[in-house]
Amino acid sequence: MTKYVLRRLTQVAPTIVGIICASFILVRLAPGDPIDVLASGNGDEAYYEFMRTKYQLDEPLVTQLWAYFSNVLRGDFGTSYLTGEPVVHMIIPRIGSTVLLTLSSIFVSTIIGVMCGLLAAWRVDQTVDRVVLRLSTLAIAAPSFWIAQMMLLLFALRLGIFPSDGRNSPGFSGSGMARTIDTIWHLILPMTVLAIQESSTIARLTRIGIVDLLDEDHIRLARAKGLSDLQVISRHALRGSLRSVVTVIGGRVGHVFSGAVVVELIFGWPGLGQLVLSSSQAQDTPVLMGVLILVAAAVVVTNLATDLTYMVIDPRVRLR
Amino acid sequence: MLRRWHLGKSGIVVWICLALFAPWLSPFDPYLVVGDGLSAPSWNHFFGTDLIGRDLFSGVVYGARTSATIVIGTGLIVVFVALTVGLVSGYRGGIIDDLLMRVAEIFQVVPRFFLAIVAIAYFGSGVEKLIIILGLTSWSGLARIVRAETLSIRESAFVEAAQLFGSRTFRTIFREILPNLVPTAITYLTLLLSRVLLLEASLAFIGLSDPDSISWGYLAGSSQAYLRSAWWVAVFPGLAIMMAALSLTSLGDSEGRRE
Amino acid sequence: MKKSLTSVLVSLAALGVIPSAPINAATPISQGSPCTTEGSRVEGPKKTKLVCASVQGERIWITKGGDLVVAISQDPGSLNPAATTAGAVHTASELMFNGLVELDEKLRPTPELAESWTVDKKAKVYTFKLRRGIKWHDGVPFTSADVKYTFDEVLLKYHSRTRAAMLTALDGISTPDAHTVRFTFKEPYGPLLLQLDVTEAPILPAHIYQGSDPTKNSANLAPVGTGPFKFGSYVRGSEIVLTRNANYFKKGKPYLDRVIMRVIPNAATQLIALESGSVDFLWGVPGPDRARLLRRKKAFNTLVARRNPGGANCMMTVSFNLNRPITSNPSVRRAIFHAINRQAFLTDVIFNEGSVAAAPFSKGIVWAWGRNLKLPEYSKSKANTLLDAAGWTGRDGTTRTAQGVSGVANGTKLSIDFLHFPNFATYAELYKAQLTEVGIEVRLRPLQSGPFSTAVFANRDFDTNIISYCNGNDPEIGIRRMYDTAQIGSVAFSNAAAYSNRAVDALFQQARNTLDLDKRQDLYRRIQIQLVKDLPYLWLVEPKATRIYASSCGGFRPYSLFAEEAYCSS
Repeated sequence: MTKYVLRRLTQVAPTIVGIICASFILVRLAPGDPIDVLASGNGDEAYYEFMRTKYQLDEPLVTQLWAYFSNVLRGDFGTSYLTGEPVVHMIIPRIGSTVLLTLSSIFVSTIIGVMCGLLAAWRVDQTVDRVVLRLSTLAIAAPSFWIAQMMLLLFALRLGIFPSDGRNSPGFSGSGMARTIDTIWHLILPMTVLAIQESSTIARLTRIGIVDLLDEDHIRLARAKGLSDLQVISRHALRGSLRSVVTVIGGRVGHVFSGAVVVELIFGWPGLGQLVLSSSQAQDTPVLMGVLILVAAAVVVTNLATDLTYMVIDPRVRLR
Repeated sequence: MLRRWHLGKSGIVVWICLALFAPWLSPFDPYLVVGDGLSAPSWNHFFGTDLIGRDLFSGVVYGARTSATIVIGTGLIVVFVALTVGLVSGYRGGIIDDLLMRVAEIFQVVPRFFLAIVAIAYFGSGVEKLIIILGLTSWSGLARIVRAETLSIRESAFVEAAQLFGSRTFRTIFREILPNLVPTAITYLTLLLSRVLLLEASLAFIGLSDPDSISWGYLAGSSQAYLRSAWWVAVFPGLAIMMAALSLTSLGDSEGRRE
Repeated sequence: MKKSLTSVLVSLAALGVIPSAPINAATPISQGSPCTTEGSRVEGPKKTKLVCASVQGERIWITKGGDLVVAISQDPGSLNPAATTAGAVHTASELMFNGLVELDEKLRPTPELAESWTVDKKAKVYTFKLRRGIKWHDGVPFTSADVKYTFDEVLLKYHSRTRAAMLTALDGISTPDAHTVRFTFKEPYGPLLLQLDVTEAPILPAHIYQGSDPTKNSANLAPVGTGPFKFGSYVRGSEIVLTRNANYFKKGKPYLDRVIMRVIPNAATQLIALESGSVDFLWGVPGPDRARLLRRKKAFNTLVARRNPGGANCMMTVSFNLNRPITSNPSVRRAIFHAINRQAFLTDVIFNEGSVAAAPFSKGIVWAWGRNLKLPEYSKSKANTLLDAAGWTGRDGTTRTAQGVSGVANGTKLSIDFLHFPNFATYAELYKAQLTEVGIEVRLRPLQSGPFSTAVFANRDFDTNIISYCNGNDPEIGIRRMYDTAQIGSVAFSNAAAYSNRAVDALFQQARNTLDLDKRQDLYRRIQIQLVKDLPYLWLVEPKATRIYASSCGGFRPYSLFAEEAYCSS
């Protein structure tokens, strides 16, 4: 098992390296000169040359890639083309907000989704199952910006319960508990929007996983023996159910981050999603690369954790 | 279950009809100004007109075409790449398997939406570019499924038996895999493609879609701002997307279930 | 509640206010109503304290203190308004700075950092006497060295309009003493006084920026200025808090305690924030919603503005690439002009907020725009005739093809591309729809600002495009760069059409070299007559922005330092 863990760990690095290389090349392939962003259209040939040398843009691709790598390993993600700030300084203030939003949605939607999925699988093909399926299908098929706007109109405007935007109230200067409460109050609407679609997906996937599981021979046998479904699930199918659930959750991080981009835009939530949008509009490459690496690393680590949890739960996993 | 089966298939059929017969089914040219801007649904304009006075009903009908193109194009790329990679990976194993799965992981790891935003920012928007981007970022999940299926079939008894009889293993595997693969693949694909539809709408919401070709995503996403004053511009295309996504998902639900 | 006149006079006398005219006992004292003596205090109807203050030349009762929450659409990224013309940066930061001079609503220069100035007869030397006692927000005194530094090292290098206008004309800036600045020009330079407000030339502190790269200095994130508000905090992506500058050189102002700029990228969310009360002021509202909001008269007020933090008198302008075979033909350009229904752009794209362009120059430059110049009117038949005559044949409803057009092979489709920023997509679609009706195929190419500038100015890879050219308050500021031969190049937002007419160049030069407004007006008119003949651009519409704000606030100005005299009751 340790061998497997070590092996998986060493596989993480090449993936991230691969992502960095691929995006570096992708960006350099794009039409247009990064100088235009750097020099902010100042048009002076001398200034262009100066900037090119300063940012090493005239050197061969491999040299640039190598320089970038060695910098990243030392924690230096370069400076923004637009503002000259270190990329790290731009990303760090926003990570917290996005993590807060995504993790809280994953947490809430996992609980709701798994419960509903289990319920639906337990009473498969009956009314409960049909209701869960219908609701979840509808929730997934609706465009997320629709849901967001509806929630805003209903809760923030008509009912006036929740605030409409931001992470804290305008000009909020409190701290400690007061700040936490204010943040939570602002978090509820955007988190709910994400959670609606996430929990629907989780419910469906959990349901299918459990249904398939319950179909397996040894489960059928247990049922035939006269055990109730609950006993069957808790005694025989637990490992398999957990496996399904873990598989599902593990794959959600990337999706939730994608969903968060639109939600952050609509709710003015000051996270990475907004940064991605504004940096891509401005073609601010160093910032985009920084966010990309970060998100990729997060997903890779989650995948790894999922695989390892898999291993712990289900020793049947084939080791090759 | 019978009802859902009908919903899924009939939805797809309606969609394909709209796409194929758009010029005959739409009352106006969707690109031309034919009325006042933002006029409410009326006998003349069933879905009203959009911001600059183009007929929305015609826009939705023609939108079926563009959306169908995007969905089919992405689906084809995904199936082709996933099948190839999954089969080779599962069949050969060893280093090739490792390498291919690492490549798959690279594509799976970066969130699709994020990649689409960045790619469009650098390369520009456009239906063809979108299909390539979406196709190339969506195949890894299906590839894993294909690989898993290949692996399990490979080890199974009757393949060994077939080998005893000297038949070509690869062809055998291929023939054995497909029937088992189809239900799971359909579930996966339909879910994926309905997400592709919604992704396109989200991209349009941010302003990153192709204004040269009218698609549902473009109609729904770019008119969100008018939801409160001219609801029809935002609602009808959004409904079209929802119906299409629902049809795809229902299809996946019914066809995908293992008997 | 009736009071006798005597008792009213007595109570007012007790407050220290002696009325100069008899007061109607029933006149309510409420926020916004007129008062007489500045500085006096009164308790308003809701037991709030009201102060008599000067707002835009009038004295009215206001509530002092409080917060103003403003919604902005973009995180600015930097708070240095001298190094860029970007609207987002200026919107967020202008309140912290001043220019040498301000422009009132009639564009007359009024003293700001400079208390007086003299211009020599030939308009070559401008001498400004700076106010004494002005301090930067960190307490360091403001001197002429700050002005010299800002112009030499920042404005003339990075501020595209100021640089384009002044760089070649300026001989030098000298500072004879700490409170005098002298601008010396190589030849007579008329427009200087219109280019010194906080939008075109905000002054930065030399003691902070000297020796550094002004675009990358960390003070860009925590600025020090002279303006009515000081920097409080900047939470990236979230909000910028500005606090009252108690030592502002205009005594008594500002009236607000804080201005909070809230980043809300989505327009619909901004509206909801305004309606639910968490935001007080919006810079603009989407057309269809404006009518709906204004029906709630008691709740909201509006302010129409031609001058924006990003620039004044902006005109949506379609550029023709004069170096391409299709668009180099003047008949084709004229045909396109005839085919475009500009009124439709006014009603459907900007919802009547603004006007159709009536001349090459913006109407906002009141003395210079060409009155009664006939731009080609909307006429599909004229467009069709011109295109037929130019050799582009076609049947109704199909794209035209070339038959005997010079520089174009027979059978080529009449197909042009149109480059635009993604947020101008509606303009693009209407343009495409209208041109399709006369048989011109339009390929839309939405591009973000970086690739757009590269394609248009560096590579000249376009047939037509649309740009919001801010004309500024004087033709020298934002118009000349569109037509000057010297401005054809890779600098963004210069002469996109690559229009080159030596006579016009000479006229611009002459107009810049004189202070005589009548002479300048005549010269600019001659320029515009020529431009209307040549049609290098298609002047589309001049949008005006309508600011909307909660009626509990007031005192906003439709131009720079919009909140200097603003007030809000909680």
